[in-house]
Amino acid sequence: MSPHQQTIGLGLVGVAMALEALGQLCFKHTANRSIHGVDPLALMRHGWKHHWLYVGIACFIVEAFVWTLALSKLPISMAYPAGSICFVFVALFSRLILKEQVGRIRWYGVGLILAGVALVMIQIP
Amino acid sequence: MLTELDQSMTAHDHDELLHRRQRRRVWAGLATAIVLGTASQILWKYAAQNGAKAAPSGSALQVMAQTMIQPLFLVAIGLYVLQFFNWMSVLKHADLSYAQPITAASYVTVGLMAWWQFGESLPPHRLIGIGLILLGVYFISRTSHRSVKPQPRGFTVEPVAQREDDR
Repeated sequence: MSPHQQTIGLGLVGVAMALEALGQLCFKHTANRSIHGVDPLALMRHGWKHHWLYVGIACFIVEAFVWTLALSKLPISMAYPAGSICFVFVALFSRLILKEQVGRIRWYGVGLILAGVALVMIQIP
Repeated sequence: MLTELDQSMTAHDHDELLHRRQRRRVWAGLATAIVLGTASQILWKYAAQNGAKAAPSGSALQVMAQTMIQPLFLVAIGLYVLQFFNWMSVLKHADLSYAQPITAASYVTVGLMAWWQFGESLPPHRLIGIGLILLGVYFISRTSHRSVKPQPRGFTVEPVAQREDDR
């Protein structure tokens, strides 16, 4: 694995995780706006009216391709810990776009999770 | 007859009760999300294992095709569909920045299942990682589950009053 490939791989992980966070954002937006409720029957009947739901699903589909590409360039023990950057994107987007109050305690939680995922996934030879 | 003071107190108590009931519902949904996520990962792995065994030449394409016709794979797909509906109902009541990081607990459950069911190793650094993830989830669980009112038709979001447990 050349350093060049590694940089491209990490970049792809970043793109995939930004797409994941955007998809989650679209789902949350749909849940906030849904006037029909989110129980399965109502979603099946009225889900097609919620355009953001489709944008979210599209984000996840594109993400699957980008993630597969990233995995072809990086070992899993590197791709998965790098993927926990998703938690940072979600907290940032929730704060900036959904205007949620992401306080100190939540950021500490995200930091601990990031460190934990890195330790769980990393391969120590 | 209720005095004005009594009325305001009951309104507050009512709010508190609703908040607590909603929080229980959110937690039930989060527990379901973690269980469904873990179960689908493990079933997927079983399906891939069986698929690899069933592929005569062992080429990637054949393993993929054999995996996709495994009954367990179809069960995993079914669980993903359930997961979607459950997740939407969690998001209806909870902040995204509250609900999403809590599902990191599934790294722990998948890790433990991998050790128990597939004999993958659980060295000390991995145990410390599991501890850190659980501590992080605990931190987030100590904050209020919702900081903005859902606005079904509106275009702006208003922050709700900060609660005592929100530091």
